Amino acid sequence: MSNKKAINLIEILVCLVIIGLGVTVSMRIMVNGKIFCKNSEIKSDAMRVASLQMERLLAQSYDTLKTGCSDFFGCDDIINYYSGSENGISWDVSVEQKEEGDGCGGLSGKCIPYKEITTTALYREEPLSADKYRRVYLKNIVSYPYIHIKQMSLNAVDDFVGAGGYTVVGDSADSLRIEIDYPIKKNIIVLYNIALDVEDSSGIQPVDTIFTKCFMDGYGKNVVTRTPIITQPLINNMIEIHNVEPGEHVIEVKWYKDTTQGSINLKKANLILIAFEGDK
Amino acid sequence: MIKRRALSLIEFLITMVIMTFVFAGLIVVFSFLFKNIVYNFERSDMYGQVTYALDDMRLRFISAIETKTMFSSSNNEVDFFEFKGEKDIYNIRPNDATLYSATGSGSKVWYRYSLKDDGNLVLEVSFDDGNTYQVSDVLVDKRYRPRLSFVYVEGDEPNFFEADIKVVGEKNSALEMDLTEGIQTWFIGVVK
Repeated sequence: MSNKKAINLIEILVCLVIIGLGVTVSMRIMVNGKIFCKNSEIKSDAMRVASLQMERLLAQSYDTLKTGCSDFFGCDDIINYYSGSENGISWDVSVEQKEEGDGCGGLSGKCIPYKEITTTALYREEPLSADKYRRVYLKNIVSYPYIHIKQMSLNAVDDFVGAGGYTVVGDSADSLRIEIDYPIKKNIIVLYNIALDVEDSSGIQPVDTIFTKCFMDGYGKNVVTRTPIITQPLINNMIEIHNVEPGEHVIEVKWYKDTTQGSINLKKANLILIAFEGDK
Repeated sequence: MIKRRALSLIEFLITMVIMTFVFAGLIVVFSFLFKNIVYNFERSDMYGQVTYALDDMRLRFISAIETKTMFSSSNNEVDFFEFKGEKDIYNIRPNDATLYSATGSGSKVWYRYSLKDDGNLVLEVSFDDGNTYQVSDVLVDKRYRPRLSFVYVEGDEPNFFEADIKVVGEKNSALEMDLTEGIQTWFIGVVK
């Protein structure tokens, strides 16, 4: 005997409830998936905005990159253009001077400064509500340059070479002099060129010479040049000053002649410093 | 004895009414799902094309050694960019400025990012010093109505500018994207 029975209304309703539950869950998954994708896109946009500001600052050199921050970071030096808004996403920037190395904090060894950049972008997740704000943070550094170059030049000034001892090349207003202030030890190569203007050569012998020498903080550094006045009116010299301590120093070029005869003036001169990172 | 009982007419009618609502609901749900799938594919495709274009620019501009497009104080936004750069962007040779030739000598070509008349955002390449260009790659398809601009922001370094691409969805015209990338050149400035 077979006992077949068609589906009754109760069974249909139960089926519908089950189907309804399935559809509701599917819809929920779909809606949540859409929100998740949208939030990923918003977060990705925020990353892009933060990354754009980071790249803008990384394009700057160590010296031109200004330390400071926007209101959000709350440092001492507030810089207005370190905050803004792009495509509805607000961003903030902080640039902080830091240092790293076993010589930091007064210990012996190297202590290299660097500038740390932090960029952040504020975005709002969906569904929109007051507590749905999120931030992305990016950090990078601009390292301290390994090489620095400084140079200056002098045109003709009334600076006659003296015979009594070393005096700075140039007059009181404009002399062959560069001030340095590096935060780490440096090996410095000093190059200078001086063109002479022999205004009066009477009494100057072929063996009479002009001495030039580089001085740092008033102390002479070898090598001294000795240049015949009559036959060689151009002076060139290159020296290295090893392991210059961090801090302020003055580098000058001085000269004198070993005869009281004649009158020699400055025609043109230049001074170039190339500073490399020093030894430990 | 076989005992069979089918639905009564009332039960059948009630079932029909319920099923009508159920199927109508299912059609709405599935059309919503289908529309969302299409929109999400489109969103993903748009995003992929725009980021591909911006990444291509970032990589290619790095090795630029000469440019015909410059920003100035009166013109800080342009809608195309023409420059001479590395043919092989992963092998940068700054000491070799000669144009690439079929014999294998030289390493540089001229590039141009622009919108073509047909609406495609393309990368074009020239092997004859920028006299004639051929399309090398379609970066953003015309169906997304791309708009391209290169902007120099006053105060930035002269070797840094922004590339901005805006697109609009084809199937979902309410979907707009506006992505900006910072572009840096290593060897040249782009500001007069």
